[in-house]
Amino acid sequence: MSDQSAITCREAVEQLWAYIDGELEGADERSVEAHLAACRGCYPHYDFQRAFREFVRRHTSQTVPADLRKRVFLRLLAEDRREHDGEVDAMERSFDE
Amino acid sequence: MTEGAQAGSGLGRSGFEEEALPWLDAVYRFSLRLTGNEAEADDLAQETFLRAYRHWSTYTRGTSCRSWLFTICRNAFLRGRERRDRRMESFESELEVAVEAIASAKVLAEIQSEDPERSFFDSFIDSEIDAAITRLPDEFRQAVVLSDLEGLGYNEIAEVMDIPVGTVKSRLYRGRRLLATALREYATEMGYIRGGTE
Repeated sequence: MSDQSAITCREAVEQLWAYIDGELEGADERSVEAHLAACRGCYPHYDFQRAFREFVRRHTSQTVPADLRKRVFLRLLAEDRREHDGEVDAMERSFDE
Repeated sequence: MTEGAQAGSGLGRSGFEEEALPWLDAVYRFSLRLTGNEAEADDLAQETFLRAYRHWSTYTRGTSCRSWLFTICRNAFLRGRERRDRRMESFESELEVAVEAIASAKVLAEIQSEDPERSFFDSFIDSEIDAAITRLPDEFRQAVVLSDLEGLGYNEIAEVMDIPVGTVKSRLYRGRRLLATALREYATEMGYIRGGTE
């Protein structure tokens, strides 16, 4: 591999979040990967940033109300009925005209 | 009998139960992050699904139903709040994005140097992190929640928030920096980590 793909520490840090988020591909991804594999200064930072992202994800949990699905479902069924009743009314009006 | 009823849903819109309803928990979590309280989140999640159901014909099959629902949810939230600053965001240059990326990395590097044993990660309880996320300014919180908690890609977040991808990156990195800074201050105050520069 030629040195053309080599990036500086600053360039690596600039792209580190995008790399951790899985947003880099192709040559950009390979450049960051190669830099992290070779740079003893940047790898620990990458490792800590990645750990921070996982830490936030792992420690945030929201309990969804147990009956929310049922209530949403009932509202949607009510919406179906409302539309159906509206169609029936319109049909009856058209017969009356 | 409709196609939806054949699939066992009982709902009139074909495919809605199979494609949209599985995202109810995610929409509720997003609603909770937007509103900051459970009662409003409950209402917002219900409103989102009602709107989605009414406009189900506009959803393009094969695209991300989750992003579509998050977009509806965010728009409903903004309308509810009568937010006027929705279009205030500007295009963020690559330079600005890079500056934010470096700034957030710097905060984490400082925490790392203050806490080489990484006790930082083991110290918090969930409610402390939830509270820190809730305190982030709206636009940064939304980017962090959509990426870090819900796992959306940058393009999907751009779609939901109706902003360019460059702005997504900038807000996400800044949101992470603000969150890391807030947690670091809290951890120092509580004695979880040493803090300061020695």
